[in-house]
Amino acid sequence: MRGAIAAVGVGETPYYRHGKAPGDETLLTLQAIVAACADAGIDPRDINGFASYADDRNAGHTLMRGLGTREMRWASMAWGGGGGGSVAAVGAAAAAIHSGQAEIVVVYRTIAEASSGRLQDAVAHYDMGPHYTLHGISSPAQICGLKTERLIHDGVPRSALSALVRAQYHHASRNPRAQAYGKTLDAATYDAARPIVDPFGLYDCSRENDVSVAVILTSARRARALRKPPVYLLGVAQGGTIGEAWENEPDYGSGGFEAIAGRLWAMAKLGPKEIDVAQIYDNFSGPAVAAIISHGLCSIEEAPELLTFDNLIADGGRMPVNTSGGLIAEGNAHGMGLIAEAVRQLRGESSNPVAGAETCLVTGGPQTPLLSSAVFGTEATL
Amino acid sequence: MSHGAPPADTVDAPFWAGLAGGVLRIQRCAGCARWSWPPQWRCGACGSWEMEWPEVPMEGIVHALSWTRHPFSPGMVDKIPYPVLLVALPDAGGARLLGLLDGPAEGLAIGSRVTGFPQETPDHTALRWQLAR
Ligand SMILES: [Zn+2]
Repeated sequence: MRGAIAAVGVGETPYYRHGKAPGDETLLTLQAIVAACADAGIDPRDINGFASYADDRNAGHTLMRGLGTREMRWASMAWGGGGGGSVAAVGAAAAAIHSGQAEIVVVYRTIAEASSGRLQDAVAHYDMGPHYTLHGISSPAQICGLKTERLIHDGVPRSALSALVRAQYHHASRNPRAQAYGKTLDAATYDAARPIVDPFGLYDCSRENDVSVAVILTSARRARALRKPPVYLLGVAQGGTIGEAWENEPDYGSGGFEAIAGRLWAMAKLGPKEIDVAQIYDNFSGPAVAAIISHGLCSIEEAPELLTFDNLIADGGRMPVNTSGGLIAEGNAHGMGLIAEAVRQLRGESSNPVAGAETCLVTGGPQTPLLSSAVFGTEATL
Repeated sequence: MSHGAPPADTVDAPFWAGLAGGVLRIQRCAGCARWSWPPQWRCGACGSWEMEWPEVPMEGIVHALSWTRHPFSPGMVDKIPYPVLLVALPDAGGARLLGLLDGPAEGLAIGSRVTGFPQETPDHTALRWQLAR
Protein backbone atom coordinates (compact mmCIF):
# COMPACT_ATOMS: atom_id res chain seq x y z
CA MET A 1 0.00 0.00 0.00
CA ARG A 2 3.05 2.27 0.35
CA GLY A 3 2.43 5.38 -1.75
CA ALA A 4 -0.88 4.08 -3.15
CA ILE A 5 -3.05 6.41 -1.07
CA ALA A 6 -2.72 10.18 -0.67
CA ALA A 7 -4.14 12.97 1.44
CA VAL A 8 -5.56 15.61 -0.87
CA GLY A 9 -7.62 18.00 1.24
CA VAL A 10 -7.53 19.55 4.71
CA GLY A 11 -10.31 21.56 6.33
CA GLU A 12 -11.28 22.71 9.78
CA THR A 13 -13.38 25.09 11.80
CA PRO A 14 -11.73 27.56 14.16
CA TYR A 15 -10.68 26.17 17.56
CA TYR A 16 -13.45 27.59 19.74
CA ARG A 17 -13.34 27.53 23.53
CA HIS A 18 -15.17 24.45 24.74
CA GLY A 19 -18.91 25.12 24.80
CA LYS A 20 -18.55 28.21 22.60
CA ALA A 21 -19.04 26.90 19.05
CA PRO A 22 -21.79 28.74 17.20
CA GLY A 23 -23.55 25.52 16.25
CA ASP A 24 -23.85 21.82 16.90
CA GLU A 25 -21.44 19.08 15.87
CA THR A 26 -23.28 18.39 12.62
CA LEU A 27 -22.77 21.98 11.50
CA LEU A 28 -19.10 22.00 12.48
CA THR A 29 -18.49 18.68 10.73
CA LEU A 30 -20.10 19.88 7.51
CA GLN A 31 -18.06 23.09 7.63
CA ALA A 32 -14.78 21.19 8.06
CA ILE A 33 -15.55 18.63 5.34
CA VAL A 34 -16.72 21.24 2.84
CA ALA A 35 -13.56 23.26 3.55
CA ALA A 36 -11.44 20.14 2.97
CA CYS A 37 -13.26 19.55 -0.32
CA ALA A 38 -12.56 23.12 -1.44
CA ASP A 39 -8.89 22.66 -0.50
CA ALA A 40 -8.75 19.47 -2.56
CA GLY A 41 -10.86 20.66 -5.48
CA ILE A 42 -13.42 17.89 -4.89
CA ASP A 43 -17.21 18.16 -5.09
CA PRO A 44 -18.56 17.29 -1.59
CA ARG A 45 -21.14 15.05 -3.27
CA ASP A 46 -18.33 12.77 -4.45
CA ILE A 47 -17.17 11.76 -0.99
CA ASN A 48 -18.26 8.15 -0.56
CA GLY A 49 -16.52 7.06 2.61
CA PHE A 50 -16.45 8.24 6.22
CA ALA A 51 -13.94 7.26 8.92
CA SER A 52 -13.67 8.50 12.49
CA TYR A 53 -12.68 7.36 15.99
CA ALA A 54 -13.21 7.85 19.73
CA ASP A 55 -16.96 7.25 19.54
CA ASP A 56 -17.43 10.39 17.45
CA ARG A 57 -21.19 10.87 17.17
CA ASN A 58 -21.23 12.26 13.66
CA ALA A 59 -21.74 9.08 11.67
CA GLY A 60 -21.52 9.31 7.91
CA HIS A 61 -25.24 8.87 7.42
CA THR A 62 -25.95 12.01 9.49
CA LEU A 63 -23.86 14.04 7.03
CA MET A 64 -25.08 12.65 3.71
CA ARG A 65 -27.98 15.02 3.10
CA GLY A 66 -25.92 18.08 4.05
CA LEU A 67 -23.07 17.01 1.78
CA GLY A 68 -25.31 15.79 -1.01
CA THR A 69 -23.60 12.39 -0.87
CA ARG A 70 -24.53 10.38 -3.93
CA GLU A 71 -23.77 7.02 -2.32
CA MET A 72 -22.10 6.03 0.94
CA ARG A 73 -19.85 3.02 0.35
CA TRP A 74 -17.77 2.97 3.53
CA ALA A 75 -18.29 4.03 7.16
CA SER A 76 -15.98 2.94 9.96
CA MET A 77 -15.15 3.72 13.57
CA ALA A 78 -11.83 2.96 15.26
CA TRP A 79 -12.51 1.69 18.77
CA GLY A 80 -11.22 3.35 21.90
CA GLY A 81 -12.22 6.37 23.90
CA GLY A 82 -9.10 8.45 23.44
CA GLY A 83 -6.92 9.74 20.66
CA GLY A 84 -5.30 6.34 20.10
CA GLY A 85 -7.64 5.73 17.19
CA SER A 86 -6.95 8.97 15.34
CA VAL A 87 -4.41 7.62 12.90
CA ALA A 88 -6.20 4.26 12.89
CA ALA A 89 -9.07 6.09 11.17
CA VAL A 90 -6.59 7.09 8.45
CA GLY A 91 -5.63 3.42 8.18
CA ALA A 92 -9.27 2.38 7.83
CA ALA A 93 -9.85 4.96 5.12
CA ALA A 94 -6.74 3.83 3.27
CA ALA A 95 -7.81 0.17 3.52
CA ALA A 96 -11.21 1.07 2.09
CA ILE A 97 -9.67 2.88 -0.87
CA HIS A 98 -6.89 0.38 -1.49
CA SER A 99 -9.35 -2.53 -1.54
CA GLY A 100 -11.69 -0.74 -3.91
CA GLN A 101 -14.56 -0.42 -1.46
CA ALA A 102 -14.61 3.39 -1.66
CA GLU A 103 -12.87 6.03 -3.75
CA ILE A 104 -12.85 9.27 -1.73
CA VAL A 105 -12.92 8.93 2.06
CA VAL A 106 -13.01 11.72 4.61
CA VAL A 107 -11.36 11.20 8.02
CA TYR A 108 -12.71 13.57 10.64
CA ARG A 109 -13.27 14.27 14.31
CA THR A 110 -15.71 16.77 15.76
CA ILE A 111 -16.11 17.87 19.35
CA ALA A 112 -18.69 20.34 20.64
CA GLU A 113 -19.58 20.36 24.28
CA ALA A 114 -23.21 21.23 23.53
CA SER A 115 -23.58 17.98 21.56
CA SER A 116 -21.32 15.52 23.39
CA GLY A 117 -20.56 17.00 26.81
CA ARG A 118 -17.04 17.52 28.10
CA LEU A 119 -14.37 15.52 26.30
CA GLN A 120 -12.63 14.68 29.57
CA ASP A 121 -15.84 13.14 30.91
CA ALA A 122 -16.33 11.06 27.78
CA VAL A 123 -12.76 9.77 27.90
CA ALA A 124 -12.94 9.05 31.64
CA HIS A 125 -16.24 7.22 31.23
CA TYR A 126 -14.70 5.06 28.52
CA ASP A 127 -11.45 4.20 30.22
CA MET A 128 -11.99 4.40 33.95
CA GLY A 129 -13.94 1.87 35.95
CA PRO A 130 -14.26 1.55 39.73
CA HIS A 131 -10.58 0.65 40.23
CA TYR A 132 -9.93 4.26 39.16
CA THR A 133 -12.89 6.22 40.42
CA LEU A 134 -12.94 4.55 43.84
CA HIS A 135 -9.29 5.54 44.33
CA GLY A 136 -9.57 9.27 43.72
CA ILE A 137 -8.78 9.03 39.99
CA SER A 138 -11.29 10.54 37.61
CA SER A 139 -9.13 12.26 34.99
CA PRO A 140 -6.79 10.91 32.31
CA ALA A 141 -4.39 13.60 33.56
CA GLN A 142 -3.83 11.62 36.74
CA ILE A 143 -2.98 8.42 34.87
CA CYS A 144 -0.71 10.27 32.45
CA GLY A 145 0.94 11.83 35.51
CA LEU A 146 1.61 8.41 37.05
CA LYS A 147 3.12 7.11 33.81
CA THR A 148 5.23 10.20 33.31
CA GLU A 149 6.58 10.05 36.87
CA ARG A 150 7.62 6.49 36.09
CA LEU A 151 9.25 7.61 32.81
CA ILE A 152 11.21 10.24 34.72
CA HIS A 153 12.21 7.60 37.27
CA ASP A 154 13.43 5.49 34.33
CA GLY A 155 15.78 8.27 33.19
CA VAL A 156 13.99 10.89 31.09
CA PRO A 157 14.79 14.36 32.45
CA ARG A 158 11.97 16.71 33.43
CA SER A 159 13.65 19.27 31.18
CA ALA A 160 12.41 17.29 28.16
CA LEU A 161 8.81 18.12 29.08
CA SER A 162 9.59 21.80 29.40
CA ALA A 163 11.51 21.84 26.10
CA LEU A 164 8.68 20.17 24.21
CA VAL A 165 5.99 22.46 25.61
CA ARG A 166 8.03 25.60 24.90
CA ALA A 167 8.79 24.40 21.37
CA GLN A 168 5.08 23.88 20.77
CA TYR A 169 4.24 27.37 22.03
CA HIS A 170 7.00 28.72 19.80
CA HIS A 171 5.31 27.04 16.82
CA ALA A 172 1.81 28.09 17.88
CA SER A 173 2.91 31.70 18.24
CA ARG A 174 3.25 31.81 14.44
CA ASN A 175 0.12 29.77 13.64
CA PRO A 176 -2.94 32.00 13.19
CA ARG A 177 -5.27 29.05 13.94
CA ALA A 178 -3.65 28.40 17.31
CA GLN A 179 -5.00 29.18 20.74
CA ALA A 180 -1.53 30.45 21.59
CA TYR A 181 -1.09 32.55 18.41
CA GLY A 182 1.21 35.45 19.21
CA LYS A 183 2.24 34.01 22.59
CA THR A 184 5.53 32.33 23.34
CA LEU A 185 6.33 30.63 26.64
CA ASP A 186 9.60 31.13 28.47
CA ALA A 187 11.12 28.67 30.92
CA ALA A 188 10.40 30.81 33.97
CA THR A 189 6.71 31.09 33.09
CA TYR A 190 6.55 27.35 32.42
CA ASP A 191 8.18 26.61 35.77
CA ALA A 192 5.83 28.95 37.64
CA ALA A 193 2.64 27.39 36.24
CA ARG A 194 -0.18 26.32 38.52
CA PRO A 195 0.49 22.66 39.41
CA ILE A 196 -2.21 20.26 38.14
CA VAL A 197 -1.01 16.73 38.76
CA ASP A 198 2.65 15.82 39.15
CA PRO A 199 4.75 16.26 37.12
CA PHE A 200 2.36 18.46 35.11
CA GLY A 201 1.63 22.14 35.47
CA LEU A 202 -1.00 23.99 33.48
CA TYR A 203 1.14 24.31 30.34
CA ASP A 204 1.77 20.56 30.16
CA CYS A 205 -1.94 19.94 29.66
CA SER A 206 -4.02 20.31 26.51
CA ARG A 207 -7.23 22.20 26.94
CA GLU A 208 -10.57 21.29 25.42
CA ASN A 209 -12.02 22.97 22.36
CA ASP A 210 -15.11 22.88 20.22
CA VAL A 211 -13.75 22.12 16.76
CA SER A 212 -13.98 19.90 13.70
CA VAL A 213 -11.05 18.85 11.51
CA ALA A 214 -11.31 16.81 8.29
CA VAL A 215 -8.73 15.29 5.95
CA ILE A 216 -9.68 13.73 2.62
CA LEU A 217 -7.89 10.66 1.27
CA THR A 218 -8.07 9.08 -2.15
CA SER A 219 -5.99 6.91 -4.45
CA ALA A 220 -2.63 8.26 -5.64
CA ARG A 221 -3.93 8.04 -9.20
CA ARG A 222 -6.92 10.31 -8.48
CA ALA A 223 -4.78 12.52 -6.25
CA ARG A 224 -2.44 13.46 -9.08
CA ALA A 225 -5.35 14.97 -11.02
CA LEU A 226 -6.33 17.32 -8.16
CA ARG A 227 -5.23 20.86 -7.49
CA LYS A 228 -2.54 20.48 -4.81
CA PRO A 229 0.51 18.22 -4.56
CA PRO A 230 -0.56 14.86 -3.08
CA VAL A 231 0.82 13.90 0.32
CA TYR A 232 1.38 10.16 0.15
CA LEU A 233 0.66 7.66 2.90
CA LEU A 234 3.88 5.65 3.13
CA GLY A 235 2.87 3.49 6.08
CA VAL A 236 0.21 3.14 8.74
CA ALA A 237 -0.30 0.75 11.66
CA GLN A 238 -2.73 0.40 14.51
CA GLY A 239 -3.32 -1.92 17.43
CA GLY A 240 -1.46 -2.97 20.55
CA THR A 241 0.08 -5.94 22.30
CA ILE A 242 -1.27 -5.59 25.82
CA GLY A 243 -5.00 -4.90 25.79
CA GLU A 244 -6.85 -3.46 28.73
CA ALA A 245 -4.31 -3.47 31.54
CA TRP A 246 -5.52 -1.37 34.47
CA GLU A 247 -1.99 0.07 34.71
CA ASN A 248 -0.29 -3.36 34.49
CA GLU A 249 1.67 -2.70 31.28
CA PRO A 250 5.07 -4.42 31.76
CA ASP A 251 7.07 -1.28 30.84
CA TYR A 252 4.83 1.21 32.61
CA GLY A 253 6.49 4.46 31.52
CA SER A 254 6.65 3.48 27.85
CA GLY A 255 4.51 5.00 25.14
CA GLY A 256 3.73 1.44 24.08
CA PHE A 257 4.38 1.93 20.35
CA GLU A 258 7.25 -0.55 19.93
CA ALA A 259 5.31 -3.22 17.99
CA ILE A 260 3.30 -0.70 15.96
CA ALA A 261 6.41 1.27 15.07
CA GLY A 262 8.06 -1.92 13.82
CA ARG A 263 5.18 -2.60 11.43
CA LEU A 264 5.04 1.08 10.47
CA TRP A 265 8.70 1.27 9.49
CA ALA A 266 8.42 -2.02 7.58
CA MET A 267 5.49 -0.76 5.50
CA ALA A 268 7.00 2.68 4.97
CA LYS A 269 10.40 1.14 4.08
CA LEU A 270 12.21 3.65 6.25
CA GLY A 271 13.13 4.10 9.89
CA PRO A 272 13.10 6.74 12.61
CA LYS A 273 16.35 8.25 11.30
CA GLU A 274 14.58 9.13 8.03
CA ILE A 275 11.80 11.12 9.73
CA ASP A 276 12.18 14.83 8.98
CA VAL A 277 9.37 16.17 11.19
CA ALA A 278 6.89 14.61 13.62
CA GLN A 279 3.38 15.39 14.82
CA ILE A 280 3.11 13.58 18.16
CA TYR A 281 -0.17 13.20 20.06
CA ASP A 282 0.17 15.42 23.10
CA ASN A 283 -2.85 15.30 25.38
CA PHE A 284 -0.11 15.97 27.96
CA SER A 285 3.59 16.67 27.55
CA GLY A 286 4.81 13.45 29.21
CA PRO A 287 2.90 11.01 26.99
CA ALA A 288 4.24 12.85 23.92
CA VAL A 289 7.81 12.40 25.15
CA ALA A 290 7.04 8.72 25.78
CA ALA A 291 5.70 8.36 22.23
CA ILE A 292 8.82 10.00 20.76
CA ILE A 293 10.96 7.47 22.64
CA SER A 294 8.87 4.39 21.88
CA HIS A 295 8.97 5.18 18.15
CA GLY A 296 12.76 5.11 18.40
CA LEU A 297 13.21 8.76 17.45
CA CYS A 298 15.32 9.06 20.57
CA SER A 299 16.38 6.66 23.33
CA ILE A 300 16.01 7.32 27.05
CA GLU A 301 19.80 7.69 27.18
CA GLU A 302 19.77 10.28 24.37
CA ALA A 303 16.82 12.20 25.82
CA PRO A 304 18.77 14.74 27.90
CA GLU A 305 20.87 15.80 24.89
CA LEU A 306 18.29 15.47 22.12
CA LEU A 307 15.04 16.67 23.68
CA THR A 308 15.92 20.35 23.94
CA PHE A 309 14.05 23.43 22.73
CA ASP A 310 16.57 24.10 19.95
CA ASN A 311 16.30 20.55 18.63
CA LEU A 312 12.49 20.42 18.72
CA ILE A 313 11.70 23.62 16.81
CA ALA A 314 11.17 23.90 13.06
CA ASP A 315 13.90 26.51 12.66
CA GLY A 316 16.86 24.21 12.16
CA GLY A 317 16.05 21.72 14.93
CA ARG A 318 17.33 18.17 14.53
CA MET A 319 13.87 16.73 15.29
CA PRO A 320 11.07 19.28 14.87
CA VAL A 321 7.92 18.19 16.72
CA ASN A 322 4.34 19.50 16.60
CA THR A 323 4.87 22.32 14.16
CA SER A 324 1.28 23.60 14.49
CA GLY A 325 1.60 23.84 18.28
CA GLY A 326 -0.11 20.49 18.81
CA LEU A 327 -3.02 19.84 21.14
CA ILE A 328 -1.25 21.79 23.88
CA ALA A 329 -0.78 25.09 22.06
CA GLU A 330 -2.74 24.98 18.77
CA GLY A 331 -5.88 23.34 20.10
CA ASN A 332 -7.46 20.03 20.92
CA ALA A 333 -9.21 18.23 18.07
CA HIS A 334 -8.41 14.92 19.77
CA GLY A 335 -5.42 14.38 17.48
CA MET A 336 -7.06 15.17 14.14
CA GLY A 337 -5.29 18.53 13.98
CA LEU A 338 -1.94 16.73 13.96
CA ILE A 339 -2.93 14.79 10.85
CA ALA A 340 -3.95 18.03 9.15
CA GLU A 341 -0.61 19.56 10.10
CA ALA A 342 1.30 16.59 8.68
CA VAL A 343 -0.37 17.25 5.31
CA ARG A 344 0.25 20.99 5.47
CA GLN A 345 3.87 20.48 6.47
CA LEU A 346 4.64 18.26 3.48
CA ARG A 347 2.85 20.66 1.11
CA GLY A 348 4.99 23.52 2.44
CA GLU A 349 1.87 25.20 3.88
CA SER A 350 2.75 24.98 7.58
CA SER A 351 3.12 28.15 9.63
CA ASN A 352 6.42 26.60 10.71
CA PRO A 353 7.84 25.00 7.57
CA VAL A 354 10.68 22.56 8.06
CA ALA A 355 13.18 23.18 5.28
CA GLY A 356 13.39 20.26 2.88
CA ALA A 357 10.98 18.04 4.83
CA GLU A 358 10.01 14.96 2.80
CA THR A 359 8.68 12.65 5.56
CA CYS A 360 6.39 13.27 8.52
CA LEU A 361 5.44 10.92 11.35
CA VAL A 362 2.03 11.35 12.97
CA THR A 363 0.93 9.43 16.06
CA GLY A 364 -2.27 8.77 17.96
CA GLY A 365 -2.72 8.18 21.68
CA PRO A 366 0.30 6.95 23.57
CA GLN A 367 -0.32 4.56 26.45
CA THR A 368 -3.78 3.43 25.39
CA PRO A 369 -4.81 -0.14 24.51
CA LEU A 370 -5.31 0.83 20.86
CA LEU A 371 -2.56 2.98 19.36
CA SER A 372 -1.87 4.13 15.83
CA SER A 373 0.75 5.92 13.80
CA ALA A 374 1.52 6.75 10.21
CA VAL A 375 4.23 8.16 7.98
CA PHE A 376 3.38 10.54 5.17
CA GLY A 377 5.80 11.52 2.42
CA THR A 378 6.15 13.82 -0.56
CA GLU A 379 6.37 12.70 -4.20
CA ALA A 380 10.15 12.52 -3.78
CA THR A 381 9.84 9.64 -1.28
CA LEU A 382 8.06 7.30 -3.71
CA MET B 1 -15.89 10.34 50.49
CA SER B 2 -18.46 8.83 48.16
CA HIS B 3 -17.55 7.54 44.72
CA GLY B 4 -20.42 5.13 44.08
CA ALA B 5 -20.31 1.40 44.78
CA PRO B 6 -18.59 -1.05 42.41
CA PRO B 7 -20.91 -3.30 40.40
CA ALA B 8 -21.53 -6.79 41.82
CA ASP B 9 -21.76 -8.90 38.65
CA THR B 10 -18.49 -8.11 36.87
CA VAL B 11 -15.40 -10.27 36.51
CA ASP B 12 -13.71 -8.39 39.35
CA ALA B 13 -16.58 -8.83 41.83
CA PRO B 14 -14.56 -11.26 44.04
CA PHE B 15 -11.96 -8.49 44.53
CA TRP B 16 -14.56 -6.17 46.04
CA ALA B 17 -16.28 -8.98 47.96
CA GLY B 18 -12.89 -9.91 49.41
CA LEU B 19 -12.21 -6.38 50.59
CA ALA B 20 -15.68 -6.21 52.16
CA GLY B 21 -14.58 -9.23 54.21
CA GLY B 22 -11.26 -7.60 55.08
CA VAL B 23 -9.21 -9.71 52.67
CA LEU B 24 -7.24 -8.87 49.48
CA ARG B 25 -7.96 -11.39 46.72
CA ILE B 26 -6.21 -11.41 43.32
CA GLN B 27 -7.18 -13.70 40.44
CA ARG B 28 -5.01 -16.68 39.48
CA CYS B 29 -5.60 -19.32 36.83
CA ALA B 30 -6.42 -22.74 38.30
CA GLY B 31 -5.17 -24.39 35.10
CA CYS B 32 -1.66 -22.95 34.81
CA ALA B 33 -1.23 -21.06 38.12
CA ARG B 34 -0.44 -17.78 36.32
CA TRP B 35 -1.55 -14.65 38.13
CA SER B 36 -4.26 -12.96 36.08
CA TRP B 37 -4.63 -9.20 36.53
CA PRO B 38 -6.78 -7.46 35.40
CA PRO B 39 -9.03 -10.47 36.03
CA GLN B 40 -10.47 -12.39 33.08
CA TRP B 41 -13.29 -14.89 32.48
CA ARG B 42 -10.88 -17.20 30.66
CA CYS B 43 -7.10 -17.63 30.87
CA GLY B 44 -5.81 -16.55 27.48
CA ALA B 45 -2.46 -18.25 28.16
CA CYS B 46 -3.65 -21.85 28.77
CA GLY B 47 -7.32 -21.72 27.81
CA SER B 48 -8.68 -22.66 31.22
CA TRP B 49 -12.06 -21.31 32.31
CA GLU B 50 -11.30 -22.11 35.95
CA MET B 51 -10.07 -19.05 37.76
CA GLU B 52 -9.45 -18.84 41.50
CA TRP B 53 -9.13 -15.93 43.92
CA PRO B 54 -6.50 -16.70 46.58
CA GLU B 55 -5.94 -14.34 49.49
CA VAL B 56 -2.82 -12.21 49.04
CA PRO B 57 -0.91 -10.31 51.75
CA MET B 58 -1.62 -6.57 51.71
CA GLU B 59 2.03 -5.75 51.15
CA GLY B 60 3.32 -3.92 48.12
CA ILE B 61 5.95 -1.75 46.52
CA VAL B 62 5.20 1.65 45.00
CA HIS B 63 5.69 1.26 41.24
CA ALA B 64 4.53 4.77 40.33
CA LEU B 65 3.41 7.76 42.31
CA SER B 66 1.86 11.11 41.39
CA TRP B 67 0.46 13.89 43.54
CA THR B 68 -2.93 15.20 42.44
CA ARG B 69 -3.07 18.96 43.00
CA HIS B 70 -6.20 19.91 41.04
CA PRO B 71 -9.68 18.90 42.31
CA PHE B 72 -10.56 16.40 39.56
CA SER B 73 -12.76 14.24 41.81
CA PRO B 74 -15.67 15.97 43.57
CA GLY B 75 -15.38 13.56 46.51
CA MET B 76 -11.69 14.35 47.03
CA VAL B 77 -11.67 18.15 47.03
CA ASP B 78 -10.84 18.37 50.74
CA LYS B 79 -7.88 15.96 50.32
CA ILE B 80 -5.92 18.09 47.80
CA PRO B 81 -3.02 17.56 47.38
CA TYR B 82 -3.00 13.77 47.65
CA PRO B 83 -0.69 11.08 46.26
CA VAL B 84 -2.12 8.49 43.87
CA LEU B 85 -0.22 5.22 44.09
CA LEU B 86 0.32 2.34 41.73
CA VAL B 87 1.27 -0.53 44.02
CA ALA B 88 2.88 -3.76 42.82
CA LEU B 89 2.14 -6.91 44.81
CA PRO B 90 5.23 -9.16 45.01
CA ASP B 91 3.08 -12.01 46.37
CA ALA B 92 0.75 -11.88 43.35
CA GLY B 93 3.24 -11.98 40.52
CA GLY B 94 3.72 -8.22 40.58
CA ALA B 95 0.05 -7.45 39.86
CA ARG B 96 -0.50 -3.72 40.28
CA LEU B 97 -3.34 -1.90 42.03
CA LEU B 98 -4.21 1.78 41.96
CA GLY B 99 -4.75 3.16 45.41
CA LEU B 100 -4.65 6.03 47.83
CA LEU B 101 -2.29 6.65 50.70
CA ASP B 102 -3.89 7.12 54.09
CA GLY B 103 -1.22 8.19 56.52
CA PRO B 104 2.00 10.20 56.62
CA ALA B 105 3.67 10.68 53.22
CA GLU B 106 7.12 11.59 54.45
CA GLY B 107 9.69 9.62 52.47
CA LEU B 108 7.10 8.27 50.03
CA ALA B 109 8.77 7.49 46.68
CA ILE B 110 8.84 4.98 43.85
CA GLY B 111 10.22 1.83 45.48
CA SER B 112 8.71 2.52 48.90
CA ARG B 113 7.23 -0.49 50.73
CA VAL B 114 3.59 -0.03 51.66
CA THR B 115 1.07 -1.95 53.74
CA GLY B 116 -2.61 -2.05 52.87
CA PHE B 117 -5.68 -2.06 55.02
CA PRO B 118 -9.42 -2.14 54.31
CA GLN B 119 -11.25 1.10 54.95
CA GLU B 120 -15.03 1.47 55.09
CA THR B 121 -16.50 4.25 52.98
CA PRO B 122 -20.20 5.09 52.59
CA ASP B 123 -20.49 2.92 49.47
CA HIS B 124 -17.95 0.14 49.74
CA THR B 125 -14.86 -1.19 51.44
CA ALA B 126 -11.78 0.38 49.91
CA LEU B 127 -8.14 -0.61 50.05
CA ARG B 128 -5.88 2.09 51.46
CA TRP B 129 -2.12 2.08 51.87
CA GLN B 130 0.37 3.39 54.39
CA LEU B 131 4.14 3.43 54.37
CA ALA B 132 5.56 0.24 55.86
CA ARG B 133 7.38 0.82 59.14
ZN1 LIG C 1 -4.01 -20.51 32.63
